[in-house]
Amino acid sequence: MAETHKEIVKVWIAPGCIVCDACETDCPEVFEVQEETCIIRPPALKADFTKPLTPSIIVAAEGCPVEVIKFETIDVEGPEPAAWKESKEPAAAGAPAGGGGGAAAKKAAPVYDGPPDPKWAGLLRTAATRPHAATPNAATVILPAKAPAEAIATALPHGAPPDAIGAAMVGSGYARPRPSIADRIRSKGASLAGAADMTRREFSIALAIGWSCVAAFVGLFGAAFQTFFVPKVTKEPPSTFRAGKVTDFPDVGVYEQFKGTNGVWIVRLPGSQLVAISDICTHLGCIPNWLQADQKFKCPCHGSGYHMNGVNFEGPAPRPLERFKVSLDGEFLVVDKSIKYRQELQQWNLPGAFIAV
Amino acid sequence: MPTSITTLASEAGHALVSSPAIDKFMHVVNYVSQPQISLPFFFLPLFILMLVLYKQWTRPAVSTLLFVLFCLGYFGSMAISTDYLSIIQKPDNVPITIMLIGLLVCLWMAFRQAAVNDERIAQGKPLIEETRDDKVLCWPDLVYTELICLLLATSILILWSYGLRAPLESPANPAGPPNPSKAPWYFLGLQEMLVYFDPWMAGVLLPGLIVVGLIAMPFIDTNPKGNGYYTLKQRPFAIAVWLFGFLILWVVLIVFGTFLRGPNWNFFGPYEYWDSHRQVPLTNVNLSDFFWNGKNLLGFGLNKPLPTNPFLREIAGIVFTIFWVFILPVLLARTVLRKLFIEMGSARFYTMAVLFVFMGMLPLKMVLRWVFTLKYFVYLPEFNLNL
Repeated sequence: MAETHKEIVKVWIAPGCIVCDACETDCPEVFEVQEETCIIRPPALKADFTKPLTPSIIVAAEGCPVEVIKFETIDVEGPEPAAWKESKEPAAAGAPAGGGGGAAAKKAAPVYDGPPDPKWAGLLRTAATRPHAATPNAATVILPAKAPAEAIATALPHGAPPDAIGAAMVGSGYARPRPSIADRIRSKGASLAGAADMTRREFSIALAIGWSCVAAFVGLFGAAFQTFFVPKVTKEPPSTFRAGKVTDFPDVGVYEQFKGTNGVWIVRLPGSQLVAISDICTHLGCIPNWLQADQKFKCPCHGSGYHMNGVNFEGPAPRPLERFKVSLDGEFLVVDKSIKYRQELQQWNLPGAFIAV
Repeated sequence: MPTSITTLASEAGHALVSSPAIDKFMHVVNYVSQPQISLPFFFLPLFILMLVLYKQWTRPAVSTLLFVLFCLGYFGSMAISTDYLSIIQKPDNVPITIMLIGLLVCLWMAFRQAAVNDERIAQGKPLIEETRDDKVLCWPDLVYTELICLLLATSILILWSYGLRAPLESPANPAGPPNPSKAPWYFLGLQEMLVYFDPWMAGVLLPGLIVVGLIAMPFIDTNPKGNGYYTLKQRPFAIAVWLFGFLILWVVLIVFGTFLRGPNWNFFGPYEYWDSHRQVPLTNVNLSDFFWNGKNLLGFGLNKPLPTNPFLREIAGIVFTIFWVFILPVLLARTVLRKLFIEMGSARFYTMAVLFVFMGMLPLKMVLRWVFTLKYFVYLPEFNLNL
C-alpha cells in the first residue's frame, strides 16, 4: 500500500470561541480573531489554500483551549513533506515533562512549568472574570504549547464556563488578552488627535468650539420648535369688529348677541357707560352664563360669579372679567379684542375701556 | 342597570313619596349632606371610627349588615326620589357606583386581615401570610386565571356598552356651555378642589405634589413593618394619613362632584331637584380684607383702608403661608412628631412634613371657606398669584 498522509480541505469554527488569539498566532493565514469570535479568512475557505497549511492548522486546533476549531481531511498519496515535520516541532517544545526542549520558545516568553500559577488560580475561584479585565497589563506572547491547556483542563472543574478558561489562559501566561474596546478606542483617539501633545490653549479653543456648536444647535432647534406653539391657521374672527350701532344698546343691561360669534358681552352700565366684557372666566377659562333673573354672570365649571360690571363676588374667580377696547366709528361701536383692560391693574378708567353715552 | 326595573321600583316607591315622614327624611338628608356639615360631622367621624373600631366592624356578620344597610340606602333611595334616581341612572355615574362598592370590598378585605393579624401578633401566633402557601404554578394556574379574567372583563365591557348608551351631547357651542360643566368622573375631586383654590394651586401645584408624594413614598417611608402583610397596629400614622388623603380628600370629593354638584356648580342634596335658577349667596372675602377692614365674624381687624402696596396689603396671608409651609414642619418636629423626626432623620422628615402640610391646606381652606367665607390667603392678582 502506498504511503499516504492527511491534508486539510475544510476548516471551520464551532460556537464557543473565547477570542483568545491563540489560533491567529499559530496560523495567521487562516484565522482572524475579531471582537466576538474568530473567523476563517475568506481565502482559507478553499481547499487549495488550506492544504499546504495543514500542520499549522492542526497546531492551532490542538492549541485551541476550548477546542472549537474543526477541520476535515482527505488522504493524499505520497509521503508527508519534510518541512511539515519541522513546523510541528514547536508544538512539542512546550511539554511540561520535557521543559528543556522548549529553549527556543522560552526566549520569547516564560513557558508554563510546574503547578498552577497562584495568580490565575485566584482568578479561577472567581470564575466569571473576563480575560482582559482580569489582567489588563498582561502582554505575554502566546505559546503554541498544548501543555497549559491540559493543565487548565485538569485544574478547572468540569464544564467550567469559557470565561473561566479564558481567565486561566491569561493568568497562566498562555494567552495574551485583547485590550478592551474602550482601551482600543482610547488609544486610537489619542493617536489620531494627538491629545497628548495638545496644549492648554488648544484644548480650550477646541472646547469652546465644541460647546458653541452645541449651543448653536440647541438655540436653532429651540427657535424652530417654538413656532409649533403658534397655530398656522386660526378660525378666530378678526380681533377688531363692528358691534352694531350705539343705539342698539339703549337700556341698561347685558347684550348677548356677540357672545357666540366674538366672545364678547356688550354691557350698558348704570353710569351711562358702554363696555365690552370678555366671556372668559378668570378662574380657569370656562364661559360663564348671564343669569338675567339673578343679574349676574355665573360660571358652570366652578361656580364663580360676577356682577353685571364684571367684578367677581363669589366662587373661586381671582379677578374681574377683562374688558376689551371700545371706540366709535361714526355711530358704530368698534370692539378691539387685542387690547384688554384689567380692573386690578387700575385700567378700567383709561380711555378706550369704555364709551360714555 | 335596566331602565324598566328601576322605573318599576320608582313607581312602586311613589306611594311612599307622598308620606310626610319620607319627605321629612329627605329634607333632613338634603340639609346635612352639604359639605360643611357632612364632611366634618359625618365623613370625618366615620373615618375615625373605621380606624378605631376596625376589629369590630370587620367581623363578617357586622360588615355584612353594614354593607346591606349601605345598599339599602344607596339603591333603595332610588325608589323614593326621582331626582336621586336620575343621578344614579346617568350612564356617566355608573362607574362611581362600581367604584364605591369595589372600594368598600377592598377596604373590608384589608382591614379584616389587619385585624386578624394584629390579634395574632398580640397572641404571638404566626401571621396569616406566613401560614398560607400562596405559591401557584405559572402554568397552568396563573395563565388560566388570567385567561378567565380577560374573558370576564371583555364580556362585562361588551354587556355594559350594549346596555348603556354612551352619553353623547349636542355639538359644542361656545355661547352655551353645559351647565354644570363637569370633568370626567375621576377628575371631579380635582374640580372640587378648584372651587377652593386658584387654578395654579389646585390645578398644577397640588396635583403635582400628589404625584411627587406618591413617587417619594418608598423613599420617605423606609419602615419595614407591614411589608408583605396587613397590619394597622404597627402602622397607625402611615395608614391613617394615606387613607385620609385617599378616602376623604379624593373619593368623597369625587362623590360630591358627581352626585351633589348641580347647575352653576351649586350644591344640591341627593334628593333635591337641580334647579338652575336657585340663588345661593357665595360672597367670598380675602384674608387681606379681614385683616385691614375687620369684615369678619369675630369683629377684629385694623379698620384701615387697604394699603396700595400689594405686598403690604397681603402681609397677613404671606406671614401665614410662610408659617404654614416653613415653620409648621419645624414646630411639628420639635413637638408632637418629635419621635418620628428622630426615627426618620431631618431630610426624610421635612420632605414628609412639607407634603403633609400641603395636604392639610385643602381641609384647612375648606373649613375657612365654610366658616369665614374666606377666599384667598394671599391675593395678588397683579402677579396672577393667589393662594
